[in-house]
Amino acid sequence: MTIAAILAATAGSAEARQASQENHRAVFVKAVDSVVGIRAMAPLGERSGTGVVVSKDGYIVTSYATVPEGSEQIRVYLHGPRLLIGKLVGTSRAHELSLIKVEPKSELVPIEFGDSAGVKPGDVSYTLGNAAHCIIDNDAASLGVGIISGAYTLRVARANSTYTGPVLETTAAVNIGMEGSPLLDGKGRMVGFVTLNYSPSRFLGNAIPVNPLKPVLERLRGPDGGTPTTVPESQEPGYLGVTVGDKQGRVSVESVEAGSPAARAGISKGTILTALGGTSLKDAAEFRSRLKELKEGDLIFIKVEDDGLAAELKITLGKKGR
Amino acid sequence: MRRITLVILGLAGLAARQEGGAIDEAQKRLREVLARVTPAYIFIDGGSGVCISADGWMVTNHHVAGGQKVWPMRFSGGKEGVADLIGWHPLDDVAVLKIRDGKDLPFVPMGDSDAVRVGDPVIAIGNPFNLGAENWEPTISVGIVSAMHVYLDSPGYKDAIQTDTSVNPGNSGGPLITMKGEVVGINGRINPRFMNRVNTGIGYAIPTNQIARFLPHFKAGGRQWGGHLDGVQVGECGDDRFENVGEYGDGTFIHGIDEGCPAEKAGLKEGDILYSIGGQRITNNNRCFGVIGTWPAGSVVPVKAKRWNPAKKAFEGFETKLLLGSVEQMKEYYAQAGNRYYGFTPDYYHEGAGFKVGEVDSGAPGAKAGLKPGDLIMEAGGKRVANWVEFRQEMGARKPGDVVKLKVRRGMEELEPELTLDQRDLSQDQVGQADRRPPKKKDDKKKDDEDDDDAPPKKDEKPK
Amino acid sequence: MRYAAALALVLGALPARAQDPLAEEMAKAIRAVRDSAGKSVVAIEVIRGEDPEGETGSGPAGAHKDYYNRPAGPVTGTILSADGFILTTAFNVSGEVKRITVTTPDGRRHEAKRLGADRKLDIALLKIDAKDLPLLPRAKPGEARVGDFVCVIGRGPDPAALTVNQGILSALGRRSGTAVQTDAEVNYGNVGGPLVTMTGEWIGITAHIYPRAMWGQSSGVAFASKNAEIDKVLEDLKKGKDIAKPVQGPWIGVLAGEPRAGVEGVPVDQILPNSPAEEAGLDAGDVIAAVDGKPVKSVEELKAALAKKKIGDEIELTIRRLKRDGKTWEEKKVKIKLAENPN
Repeated sequence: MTIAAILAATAGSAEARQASQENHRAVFVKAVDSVVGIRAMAPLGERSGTGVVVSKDGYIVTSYATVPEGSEQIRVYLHGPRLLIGKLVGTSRAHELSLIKVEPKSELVPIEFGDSAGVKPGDVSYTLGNAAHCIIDNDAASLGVGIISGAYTLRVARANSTYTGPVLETTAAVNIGMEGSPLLDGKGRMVGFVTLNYSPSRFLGNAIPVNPLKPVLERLRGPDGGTPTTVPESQEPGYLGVTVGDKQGRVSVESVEAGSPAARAGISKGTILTALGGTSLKDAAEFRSRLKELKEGDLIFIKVEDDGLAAELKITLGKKGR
Repeated sequence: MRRITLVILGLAGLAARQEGGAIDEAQKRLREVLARVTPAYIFIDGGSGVCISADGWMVTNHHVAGGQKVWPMRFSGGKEGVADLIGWHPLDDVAVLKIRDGKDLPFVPMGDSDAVRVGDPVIAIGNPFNLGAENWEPTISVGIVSAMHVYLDSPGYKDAIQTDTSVNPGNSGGPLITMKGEVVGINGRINPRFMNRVNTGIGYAIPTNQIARFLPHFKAGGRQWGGHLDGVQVGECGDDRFENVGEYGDGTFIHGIDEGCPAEKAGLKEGDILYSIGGQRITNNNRCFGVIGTWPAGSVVPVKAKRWNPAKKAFEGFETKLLLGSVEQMKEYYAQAGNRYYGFTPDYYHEGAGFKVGEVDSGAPGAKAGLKPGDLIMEAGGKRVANWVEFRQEMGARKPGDVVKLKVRRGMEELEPELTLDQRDLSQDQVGQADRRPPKKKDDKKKDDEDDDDAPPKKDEKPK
Repeated sequence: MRYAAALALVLGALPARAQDPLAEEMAKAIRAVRDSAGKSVVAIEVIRGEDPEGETGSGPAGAHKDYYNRPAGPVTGTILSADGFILTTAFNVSGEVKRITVTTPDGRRHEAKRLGADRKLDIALLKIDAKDLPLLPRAKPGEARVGDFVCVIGRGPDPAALTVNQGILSALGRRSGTAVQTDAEVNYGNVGGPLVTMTGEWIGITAHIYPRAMWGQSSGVAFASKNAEIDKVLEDLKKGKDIAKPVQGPWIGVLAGEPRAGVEGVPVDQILPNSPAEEAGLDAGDVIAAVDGKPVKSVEELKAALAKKKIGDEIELTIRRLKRDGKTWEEKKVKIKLAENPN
């Protein structure tokens, strides 16, 4: 959705046109072998996203939203297509990244990293990934082109994201399935790591700048031959923002804190909660005790009834005071 | 406003770009392409369409124009016209219409969609949210091709072009155009994000190469059917429940094959891995279904396959030709064109010039004209016919009751029988039918009729 | 041979270009536009009272006026005169507004007074106490063409930072000719900011984001009220006049979708919040088949049937709704009271 697109095809001199026409293509060809589709059985069900090859011997970085801790059956769809089974070696929820290792028969093509500090608004930028599962289904990574349209800080984690902090905003397409994909600069180098987190005043794609992620990746991979580690992080209790009570044998919401995850999901006073995480609820005490075990950033499914209308809500637990 | 003019001086330093530089050049080129292609854009019932020939053939989505026979339409700018629905393909979401009294109309030629590459800039013209109805000014948006050969589950976008160009409800049926000014796709589907049915960078278009393969059939009229692997069950290569089925990405393997189906006739066997169909590389089941769906039923396409040789413990490659579609269904379907019934089917495997008669329905117009299986029809109505598809298109251009003089070769003989076209049974291709089922086989027609919930055919609408 | 290998052979290994002169030139131009036009773009913080209809932030979303429900964070305005007239969208400062604070690009904060508004153009005029504010140069009237490259300059979630979105002019004559359309992304954050040419000349104010994209989300369809139209009402706005929309026809509050094969009528794509349709319990996916028993087959026919009615009239809609089996349609009749179109 950008002029960068047209621009390329309409350069001034014949030579410049030739050069530019190839640029989107060149970025695509350079990066496509390093971008993979990922499908994994996460504790709460199957998830799909994008991954990026970071080493020849098979280290692949992907989104924590796709491969959270405890994920199994990690399938890695490489360009070709080829299918490999991966092993989760480390996660950092705060940086929204997970590191996977596959055992390839031949060397993989790692992505070239760029310098995210050098990225300026207005620069051409590309996204390349598994939008709507196009890598997994069609071996056709999806290329989006746009510009860097802003740089700001996201303070709330939305859309399954576990990341808050500085982001680069891009007008290149970011959609479901693109979490974990690279944000590429005009030379096909990875300068950002795409998150589905977004600003509701912008509704555009966001990527985590790649510079601060580099040391995290190193730590996750561990020293040469060393044991990979999970980056320790605060495990704050999950915050939903409701008080509940028993009403005619059912779990009823008694109050909702304004601005809380529950309020944002549309839960209000009087809403009946019927199930949590697929299991039905006996009473308010059970709901409270089960909620207590959940952590900040956890995604929960709550079945509710409101005025006789039933719905299942998907809520990411927050952190109190945020 | 004097004050404003004064402050403008402060902006003198702005132009970091040169007059006549790359941006100006790009702007000029885009304006030029738009001036060429925009007049061929068509407003139709809140959706979009595009005129592809000076005499008024027009393409849109089936979900836009498949619902009735006659449509009022307007060109970009508001010029009114009336278009008749001629051919439609619900499973591919394509409808082809003919604008009445079409002469010297603005059109965009169809380009080669297989030449389109990821990263190519493209233009979409459309009517998002019916905004253009106010003044018949369409909406232009630009972007790039994001992915090629995307297979979506039914309803079938089988070989879609994916684009990040802004495409929204109302863009359906509108053209996706290259910077060369050629239409390479018909926009028809989007993927939403943020819980809203508006575009966020994923739009899908039906490629023109697929439409071009069906075009003679569309012009012949009526409902169209895409090819499929009749009587074959396929599995994904690399499936660890099976032995010697290669690795994921190798192709698609035959898991089961019915007796007497076209694939068996082509010499294919259980366990064979298909890795190329119609010249396209097959990598997995989706791509297999995708490629096959771009061909009309009745097409005979080259296939490359490999078979496990247990003695050598290796795969051995071979090539063959495969008829796409079920013969039983096509027998019913290809004895007619639009609502013209001629009562004989082609020999699909025939190579070389002319229409070689396959089977002749008894008592039908073909049998009455004395045609026999194996006859080679060289001319129809004084025109040479290169193959059965051309013959079909030729018949589609006539009316029931017309008498067509044929030139037929039977062995050494040359005959000139006269064929009287009959009215065709329309039950198969009712307009507005959202039916996703293949044509009914004759023997289970009765059973099907009982639960037939299809709407009766609609009457022609009076043009506005 | 593997597919990837084959592909690489066909394409040759194309190295990414050392640099793309066009992208470089465009990036420079975009930054130049942002930096020059950005001098006339302000951040606006709006403090609203309690939503009169209920607790903000809870309850079903439809129970709230959109402007109470919008995300927190500043919106955008455009400097119109050196002595402190600021233009933004009427929507941005609608509702029970308690305080408006404008942050000018030099970082100073000013209390702003809302003067007048024009709902038809979706603009509102604010006044701050300032002088020597920088103004945007204006695009020459009649020079714009469809396909022209344009930028939208806004203030993002962080009021100190500028956002710039780029696109083309998609159409020139929208909203009875008062607005242009662009595929540059316009959202809650940057709406109210200027739409400018690639040389930084002002074409109009981005506006009208709410009716189509329910949550302020860009769909690549955005509008900007033309500056020539704004000029026509400016004196009235300075006098504090609130120009209402001309009374709109009766309205049920649905967005029609594309026709669906197999069922006659007007398919409903979205139900707008606070609309008669919502009240009557219509669902997205329903098909409106008749108005007071008379069949409607297209959006045009539905519009025509509604245009014959008056605001406040109660009509009966025949609705077709897909049954659970996903195949058959059931028919229902619903009474619905027509309201005035608020958009």
